[in-house]
Amino acid sequence: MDCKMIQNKIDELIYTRGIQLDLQEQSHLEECNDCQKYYSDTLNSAQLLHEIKQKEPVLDNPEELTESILKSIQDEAQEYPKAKINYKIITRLLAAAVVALMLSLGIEQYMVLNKIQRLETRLGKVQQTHQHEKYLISKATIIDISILFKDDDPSFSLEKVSTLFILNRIKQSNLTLYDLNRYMNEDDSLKSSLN
Amino acid sequence: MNHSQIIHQIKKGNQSAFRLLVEQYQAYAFKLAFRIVCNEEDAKDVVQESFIKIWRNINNYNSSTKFTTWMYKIVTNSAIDLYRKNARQNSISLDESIGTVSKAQQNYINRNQDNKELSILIRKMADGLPEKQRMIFVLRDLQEMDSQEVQEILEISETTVKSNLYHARKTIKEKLLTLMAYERR
Repeated sequence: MDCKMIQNKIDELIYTRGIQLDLQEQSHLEECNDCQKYYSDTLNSAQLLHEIKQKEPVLDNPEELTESILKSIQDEAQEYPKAKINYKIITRLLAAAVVALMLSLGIEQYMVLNKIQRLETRLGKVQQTHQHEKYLISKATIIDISILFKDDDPSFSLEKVSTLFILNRIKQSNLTLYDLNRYMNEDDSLKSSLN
Repeated sequence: MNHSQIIHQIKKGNQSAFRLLVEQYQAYAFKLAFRIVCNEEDAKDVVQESFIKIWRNINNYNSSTKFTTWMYKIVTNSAIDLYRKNARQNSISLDESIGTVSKAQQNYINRNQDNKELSILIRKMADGLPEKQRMIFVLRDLQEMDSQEVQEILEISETTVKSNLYHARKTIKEKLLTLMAYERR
């Protein structure tokens, strides 16, 4: 019989105490000196381990430790008063805020794109009906146009982006100075349709 | 006040309820911490730090988990952190441990004997074990936790517990036998 297998069984027998050696294993143990020594060593070390386990670390003066722990949390409570946080409400508020933000940004984007589309349609019509001498639009005029599209809050980045987008489209459409003047001064209906 | 009422009161910020909890569990937490860090003062620090963490995080405690398992996980993790920090500094000589083993072997150790002796014994047994084997040995064989609790505290599988415990026991047995052999000379 394999000694290693028997020795594994001995470990199991001594440490877990859930098994027993069968007759064949027992007779091997009675005859094999190596396995007998292994059994005796394992038993000795397990007994020593048991002694060690029985000796428990002793906490001297537990009251002192208790007071020390409580003092720490009292100090902390004074420094940072424990907020009564209702996580459910916070989660719901956060979800509502996210939905509101998404709606707001969506609507804003829709308005800008719609405005651009209408501007392009109008400018396309102007070019088809009026044949005038074409001028390049000066930088100053572009600034004038950009003022038209400026929001009350110039820091709002979406507006800045939309303005740049519009200016780019105007540049690409070969707008004449006449068209621009018409837009700026004469055709109020055009202007109102864009706002 | 029963256990769940105590937890409920602590969640509301009741420090008197927290005192009850500390009084109830600090000794066990100390034993656990001591067996990991092997030093009385360090073990007290671990217990203090752990209870502060419990106070701060009590709202994260889910009552579907056994409270003691949640608490011992906090204690074990704090102790492991300190153990890692101290690991390089703590080494123990063979000579220092031989006399201690001899006393244990002759059953001289009384339950209330000083902690230093026990610290030497545990360190001598567990020093050199890989960290996982050491923790499993401490929780399973010294603290006598069941396998399920060890799995939850260390977040490992049953197979990992079994195989690491097997190797830990084997190494410890060899160490103890070596020490006993030294003493027979």
